[in-house]
Amino acid sequence: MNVPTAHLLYLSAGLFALGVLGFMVRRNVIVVLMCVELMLNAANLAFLAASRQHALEGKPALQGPVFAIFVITVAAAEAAVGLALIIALYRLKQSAETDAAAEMKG
Amino acid sequence: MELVLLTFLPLLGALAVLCTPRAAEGLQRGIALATTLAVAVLGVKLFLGYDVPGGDGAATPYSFSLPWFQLPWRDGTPTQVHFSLAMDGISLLMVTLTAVLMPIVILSTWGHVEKRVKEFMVWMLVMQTGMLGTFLAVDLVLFYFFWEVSLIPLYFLVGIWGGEQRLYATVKFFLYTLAGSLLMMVAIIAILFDRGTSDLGELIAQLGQTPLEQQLWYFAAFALAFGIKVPLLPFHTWLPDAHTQAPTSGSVVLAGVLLKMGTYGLLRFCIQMLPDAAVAAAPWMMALGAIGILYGALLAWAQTDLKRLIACSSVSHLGYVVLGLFALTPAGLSGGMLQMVNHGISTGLLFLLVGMLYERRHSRALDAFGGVATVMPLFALFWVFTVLSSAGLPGLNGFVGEYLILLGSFQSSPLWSVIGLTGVIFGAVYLLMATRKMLFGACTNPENQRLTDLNAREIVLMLPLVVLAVWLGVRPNDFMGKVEPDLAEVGRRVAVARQSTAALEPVTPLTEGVAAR
Amino acid sequence: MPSHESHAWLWWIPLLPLLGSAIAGALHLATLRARHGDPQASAPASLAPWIACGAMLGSFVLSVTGFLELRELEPAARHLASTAHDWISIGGLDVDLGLLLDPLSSVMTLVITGVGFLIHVYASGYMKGDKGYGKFFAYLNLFVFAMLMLVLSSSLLGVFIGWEGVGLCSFLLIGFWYEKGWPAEAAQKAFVMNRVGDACFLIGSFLLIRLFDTLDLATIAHTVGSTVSFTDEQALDMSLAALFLFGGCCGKSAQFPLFTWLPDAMAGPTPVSALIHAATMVTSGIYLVVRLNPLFAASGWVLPLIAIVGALTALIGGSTALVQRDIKKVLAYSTVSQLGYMFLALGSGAWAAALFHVVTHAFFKALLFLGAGSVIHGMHEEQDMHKMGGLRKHMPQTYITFLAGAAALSGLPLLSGFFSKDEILAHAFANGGLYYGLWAVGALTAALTAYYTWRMVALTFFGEERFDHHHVHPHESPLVMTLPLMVLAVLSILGGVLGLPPVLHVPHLLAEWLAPVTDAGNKILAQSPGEHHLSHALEWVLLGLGSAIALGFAHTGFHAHRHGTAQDEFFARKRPTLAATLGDAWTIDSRYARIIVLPLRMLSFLIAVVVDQFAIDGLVNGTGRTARDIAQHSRRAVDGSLASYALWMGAGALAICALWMWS
Repeated sequence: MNVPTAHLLYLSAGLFALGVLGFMVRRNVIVVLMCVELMLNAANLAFLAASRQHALEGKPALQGPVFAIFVITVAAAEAAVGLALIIALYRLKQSAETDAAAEMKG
Repeated sequence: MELVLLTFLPLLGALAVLCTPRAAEGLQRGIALATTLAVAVLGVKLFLGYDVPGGDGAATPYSFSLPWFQLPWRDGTPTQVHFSLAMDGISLLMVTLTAVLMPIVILSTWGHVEKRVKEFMVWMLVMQTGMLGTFLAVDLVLFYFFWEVSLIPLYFLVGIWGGEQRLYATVKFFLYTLAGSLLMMVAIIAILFDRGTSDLGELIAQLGQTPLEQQLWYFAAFALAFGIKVPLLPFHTWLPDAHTQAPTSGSVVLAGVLLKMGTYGLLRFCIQMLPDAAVAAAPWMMALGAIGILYGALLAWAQTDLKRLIACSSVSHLGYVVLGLFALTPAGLSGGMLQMVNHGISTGLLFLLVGMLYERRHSRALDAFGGVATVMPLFALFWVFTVLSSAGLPGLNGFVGEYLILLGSFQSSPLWSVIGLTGVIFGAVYLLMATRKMLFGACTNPENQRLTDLNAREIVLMLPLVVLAVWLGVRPNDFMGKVEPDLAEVGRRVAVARQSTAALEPVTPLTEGVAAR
Repeated sequence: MPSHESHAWLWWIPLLPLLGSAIAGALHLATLRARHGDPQASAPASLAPWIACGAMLGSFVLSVTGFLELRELEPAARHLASTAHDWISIGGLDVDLGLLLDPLSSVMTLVITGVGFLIHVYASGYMKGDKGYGKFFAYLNLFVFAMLMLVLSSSLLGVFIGWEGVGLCSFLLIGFWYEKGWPAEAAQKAFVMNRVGDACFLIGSFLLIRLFDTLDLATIAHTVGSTVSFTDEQALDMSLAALFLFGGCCGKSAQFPLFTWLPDAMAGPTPVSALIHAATMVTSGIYLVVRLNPLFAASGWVLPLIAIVGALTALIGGSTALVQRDIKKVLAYSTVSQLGYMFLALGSGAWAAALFHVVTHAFFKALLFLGAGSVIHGMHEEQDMHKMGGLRKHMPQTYITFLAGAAALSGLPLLSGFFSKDEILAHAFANGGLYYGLWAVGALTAALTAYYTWRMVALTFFGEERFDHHHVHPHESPLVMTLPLMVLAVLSILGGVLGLPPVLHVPHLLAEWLAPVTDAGNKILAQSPGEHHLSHALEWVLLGLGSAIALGFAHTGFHAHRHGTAQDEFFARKRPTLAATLGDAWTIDSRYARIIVLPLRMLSFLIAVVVDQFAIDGLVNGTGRTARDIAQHSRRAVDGSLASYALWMGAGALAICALWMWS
């Protein structure tokens, strides 16, 4: 059955909004990182929906999934770096809260 | 080539001073004095050797030009910025004044610069290069370059060797002047893109084609930058603070030369380069000048700090120059030019004298003195002489410039001339008040009774200025003769520009063609 | 047109005093140096009076030579000119510095150098022992140089050199004893008031340049004299030029409203008062008007204005002198009054009469001042007449010469002052209309003059001795001081021969001598409507009236005060406000302080504090403060917490999207 593109985009927007909200509100940095992943995946969904929408008759939709693979790769790299930073932060501050490192104040 | 030598000799001297060990103060002073003396000799030689261009503006005898760098312009053709120096009648006197004044300034530092002599001399010499370059540059971008070069040393001179509130004064001076300069830079860039050249000669010929409104914008930007420097009312408030906090030698250079850079710029760029805009803006500038005369005098009257008083008198005196220049009559232009030199001499002398008093008493308050003439008669003699020169006593330099300015502005606008004339009255008031409080009366304060009169070094360094003051007063033609043709050329251009506007018909003289005697 | 031969020797007339000044100054500085070793040293400076008097004598001899040379020439050709120096050729202004000896300037130079020489001799005795002995003569000679430049210059700007030069020397000499404090203030006041006049002078010169394109005095006078008619614009310019030049004269010649510096100037040594404030500097204004008499004659309404101001000044001066107790102040106000007479004469078109009064006034006023100085000297610096009295026994020579001067001043018949004053009044009367009123004022002032002069004589030399005999021992002054007094006394008595009235059928020597200069102006005036000549009968009546007034009021004044200060005290008790007002010169000076000086001072402070410090500088500093405040506020956005940064980032991204979507 054919899911309308609009629904996919709504879902994507909703996931993205959730991700942004969580990014801004949550205190635990790991959760923040998870929200970033959420945002990236929402963008993936949008790519896939759009490429399926604009695919030519008979030809498979390739641009979307290719882009999504790029995004997943970037997300993976970024998660790795982010987790490394979190570990370094935890070692310094013994805490994984966002308020822990506020030395740049002022 | 002589111009390049003249401009960069101080820089070489500065480099030489840099190479000396920190403790060798005598050597540093000696190198600085020798360098400035050499520049002075060269400057005088150039003055004497300057030949008035004959007939219709032949090429100036001293000039030097090298291509420097290129800036992108339109349609792929770049515009060439030149490193060009030239001396003509308008810059002649300014260059000579700068050259001659510096050794006197260096000589005066013996008394009041004790710490970090090396840096002081370096900054002074760098500043001299900047000043000379400003007067000699005939490429707009080069002019701006040298303009900024002369700004920075003064910041350090006041900021390090100045008085108690030196940081406030120097930051204020620097930011204020810089703000104006930045506007000037915008205007220079605009002109570059408008006309495709930054050479002054070409611009003088071409800028007349730019529409008047555009010219007025250029004029406004330049006038603002120069007006801050002059200082023109209401952009003058940096001057009293800067002068009061600056060390004596800094004050002398500031009053003697740096302020003239502003008036020179007004003459060169606002009047010579943009004559149409100058004619249009002249009433405003004359008004500012005339009101400045009065304002500065009244301001000076209320001062209790001697140096601040003289600083305010500078505002008043340079109001005369602006009034004269923007009268745009031959008498006004010549008077303004002459008064630039005169002010450098008389106010320079005033600051030197105040400095000598300060070195002895460490106080600048008028009330701290009184009856000084009894214990320092030579000082009193020099002081009264300088006051008379500043007040425009006939026979001394101040009078000739003042009279020409007032005459010239009377021919343009009797109203502003009369307002400026009141400056003659108030000038006497505040100068005599200061003289009376300082020199006359009974010498009751024991601190004053112990004062020693001028020593040989101090007399020697003031003598050239005294001689110049008398010479300029008795034989001004010797100096202005070389300047007149170029000023007359400016006057002609202005007259052409004025033809479009309805000019006042002068009253027909009753003695047509009688040679005045 | 002036002859173009160069009479270069003319330059020695002003240059000798200049040289004398330089040498005397050097002697003074040498004395100061000598005092480092010996505080009582006076050696080099004691030569100064010889140098100064020698210079004066030399100038006088040259002036006489010039005068004699002029006499050899035809009246129309009496010009000796010397152009030395192309002073200014800048910006279209062409001024040459040259000298012109003609009848007018020769009279002036004779008076300046002659009377000046006598005063110099006197001063060598009067100032003996003063710390600034050498300096005094340096200043005095410098003054004479400036004054000679004033009267000899052929160009208005050259006159201005002298004009300001005498103002400078006046400043230096009034404030000569500056340690006392108040002389310095008086000197400053004199200079500033003079400057007000000088500003008017400059405006006048600009107008002259606009009209004539030259500042050469002879050319201007000739042009006005020979032009048949002027356009309205030119006439207005000429009137304005005359008006402003007269303003300059008011400053220099102490006319209302610029006269209050003169009484204060008495703070200077008495020879200074005699030379500068009686005989020479204050007469500069009259010289200028006579020199440019065609311009003033053609100036329409300016001439009556000059006469009114002159008459008013005469009245103010004369009435104030009535109640003064300081002998020098009496003479100062008397000078103001007599100068008023001279301007009344000028305003009536009587150029020669004005100059005649200048000459006679120089004689008798210098005499009176020097005599007063002798009295002060003998009374150990006492100047209050209420503390004098009966001095004729102690100072007979001073007394006799003083009498001569007083007689001349009060206009007693046949003395010099009588002839000059009556000539002025006759000319005023002859003009009719407004001038009848001015004549009346002049006659009234003559009465006052006689009264206060003989009051002064009585209080000083007659009556009981009101001084403290233990501390004050009045003595006669030495010969070096009394000899000039005697010479001046002779001149005061006989000086009248220079200008005997026409009713006596003898030529008016001075008027004839000055004719080449004054003819042009007289011709212009003759064209205007109105009576200009008095019948002989009327002249005799006026002469008789003048004599009667002089004798009558002299008698009254003398006898009222013969026996002491009772009359003065009575007057002060009976009419205290009148006495106070008169004593304060009609409260003009205190009004100046209140109406002009104080508001200006307040304006100055207003500008310095409110406008400059608060408003303008406040704006400048305000921009700095504003920049700093903005920075402070912006700091709050950077609080170190990740969450807020995230928030800002998100908001920013949203804003960009919105912009992009709705652009």
